[in-house]
Amino acid sequence: MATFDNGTLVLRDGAVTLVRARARLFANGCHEVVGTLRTQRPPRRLQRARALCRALCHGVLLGERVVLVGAGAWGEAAAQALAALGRRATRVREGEIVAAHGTSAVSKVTVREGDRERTLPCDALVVAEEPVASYELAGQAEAELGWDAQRRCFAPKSDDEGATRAPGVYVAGSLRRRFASHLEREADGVRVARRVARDLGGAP
Amino acid sequence: MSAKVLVCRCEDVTLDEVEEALAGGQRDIESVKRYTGLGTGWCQGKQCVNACARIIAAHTGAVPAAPITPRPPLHPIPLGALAAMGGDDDA
Repeated sequence: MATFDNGTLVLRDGAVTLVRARARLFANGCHEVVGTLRTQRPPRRLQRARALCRALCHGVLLGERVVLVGAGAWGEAAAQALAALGRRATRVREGEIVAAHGTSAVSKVTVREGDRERTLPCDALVVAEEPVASYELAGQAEAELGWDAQRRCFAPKSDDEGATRAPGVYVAGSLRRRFASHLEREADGVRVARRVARDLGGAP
Repeated sequence: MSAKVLVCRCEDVTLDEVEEALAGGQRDIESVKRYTGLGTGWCQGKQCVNACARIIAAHTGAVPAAPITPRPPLHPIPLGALAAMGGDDDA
């Protein structure tokens, strides 16, 4: 829950304990980012891929004309979920969408294409942006933070094995960079764990 | 179209207010934070700092240098839990 005095404060069963360790490995993943789309926030605008999944799980069908914002794995997953329901989504990349319009429900979105803008009629707008690194704990532990241009978010800087410049502080998984699959993320965790073991003098 | 697009949900800071800060000469997240109060609420910027960085990058064309300093705790906790804190647990 926090780093403090070269240790880690842990909240367990309602009690706080300060844990000191020779190595601290952070693999606390990502959190969602606020979208800044200009819109009246009409119904049927699902801001999160998670919200989309929840809606689908409860049998909520989206409209006939769906605009899907978001590339990458999250956008792809949302597109596949929509396709499974027979909904074909118009894909729009982040940064291309200018505004959503509608009063009681979204009716159209404005999209920027180069120097021009065009309007896409729709009755559902799904925003499936990639989550951003949860860098805060690693930052408290004095890991250097930098801008990840690929994900457009801050993230701890580390070498290929997850070691940061802060002594004894390591990062793994989607906290430190984008991975194409869960398998790659897991492999990264193993790689970093081996590095930690090696630095602590144990078996690689 | 409503102008009220929230960037910082905790402190009710809007996109217009961030853009006003940029128009007024603020060029980094720390300055925008001090000007608008962005990132000073319940979540301590976990939701809004990256959004603010993207807005600054779009306006200035510069790569965002650094976020605001992340302060402990990561999530709000009861003061009672801290007050009853035990000793070190060496690992």
